[in-house]
Amino acid sequence: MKKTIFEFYGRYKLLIRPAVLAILSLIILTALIIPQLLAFFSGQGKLRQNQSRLGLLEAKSNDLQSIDEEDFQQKLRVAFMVLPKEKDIPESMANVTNILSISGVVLSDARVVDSPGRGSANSFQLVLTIIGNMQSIRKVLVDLTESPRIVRVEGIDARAAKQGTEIQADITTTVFYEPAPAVSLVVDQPLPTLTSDDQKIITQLAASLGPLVRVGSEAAPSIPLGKVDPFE
Amino acid sequence: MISINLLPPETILIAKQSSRFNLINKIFMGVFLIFVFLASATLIIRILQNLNLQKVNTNLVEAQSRVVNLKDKESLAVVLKQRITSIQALKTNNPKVSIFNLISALVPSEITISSISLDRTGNVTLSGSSYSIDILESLVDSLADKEKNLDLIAEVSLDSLSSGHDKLLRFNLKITPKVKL
Repeated sequence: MKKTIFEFYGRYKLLIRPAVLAILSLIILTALIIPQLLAFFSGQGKLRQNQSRLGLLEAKSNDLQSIDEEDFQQKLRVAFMVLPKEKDIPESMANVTNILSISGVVLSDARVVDSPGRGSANSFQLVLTIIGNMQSIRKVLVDLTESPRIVRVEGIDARAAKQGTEIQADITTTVFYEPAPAVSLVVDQPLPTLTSDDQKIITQLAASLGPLVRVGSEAAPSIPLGKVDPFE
Repeated sequence: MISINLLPPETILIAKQSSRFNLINKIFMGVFLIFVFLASATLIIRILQNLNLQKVNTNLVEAQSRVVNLKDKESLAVVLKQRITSIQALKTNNPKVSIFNLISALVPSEITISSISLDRTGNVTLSGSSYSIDILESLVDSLADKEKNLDLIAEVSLDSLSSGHDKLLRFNLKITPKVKL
């Protein structure tokens, strides 16, 4: 048997060697080179994807580190004063009465009515009946639209009051509030940036709130309380 | 010089065939070696690529944990942005106030206003009285004048006009805004 194999090899060795080399080359090509090349190309895609994700995350982490937490909390406080989480009717009434007292008109009636919201914001209607001269009523309307809390004038019904030259006006306003949203954070989600318009708006709002913001942000001033028992 | 090959023709044929097969053998061996080289090269590249990928993945995990650690700041930024967007959407100009103030400012002192009513759509009904038709005319002209009405009013119509024994002209004006509110 062995002799036959040797004889066969001896006779066809010039053909067997190239055939074996060709088979081996094909095996190397199909089993090693092609799969490795395919894996290399898919690996390159994954590498590129991971590198871009890494770039985004690095940028996001740098942006987050550069955020002045105190400043943002202050801005958020302003935003929640302008558009509160809850109805906060007493606060809106205080805002309105403040405007009315500055304008010198008399509040004869105020009613609160529920109203459908706008977008994600909820609202309620505040119907005010005021008495004053036309100039004061005009000032009230302007002050209401420029008030720190978002108030929209929906309708005005002005008529001559029974006494003198004064005017009685029913002003229907919508006061907005928006419940705090449920924040779901995703690591890959880009960080929202405050544009120059956003900064401008929040600065204007903070300025319109004035002392109200400082009261919330600063520690209460220490007041000398004196003795507990002054007769001691 | 004359050279004579004295080998038998069969031997010469075998030698020729042998040299041709040797050449083929060399070519196949060369191809085989090239394939072996390519296989080793791709293997090395793959190993380097895997090392690179591991390094990037490690950095990615680190960056992710850094971002997660700063989630308080992130939620602060997200809530603030959402709130500012809502405020921007709601805090738009209120043309109703502008229209009301404009109309009340354009009414001359000779006219007594009995009522001004501005409804939800922005339509205004003005009721008043005057002793002079000219003054009423000048009021209508002022309200309809594009320069005076700041281009806020589209139409002014006299709904009713009546005169009593006291010669007082009582009128109702309907004023339609340019933009439907």
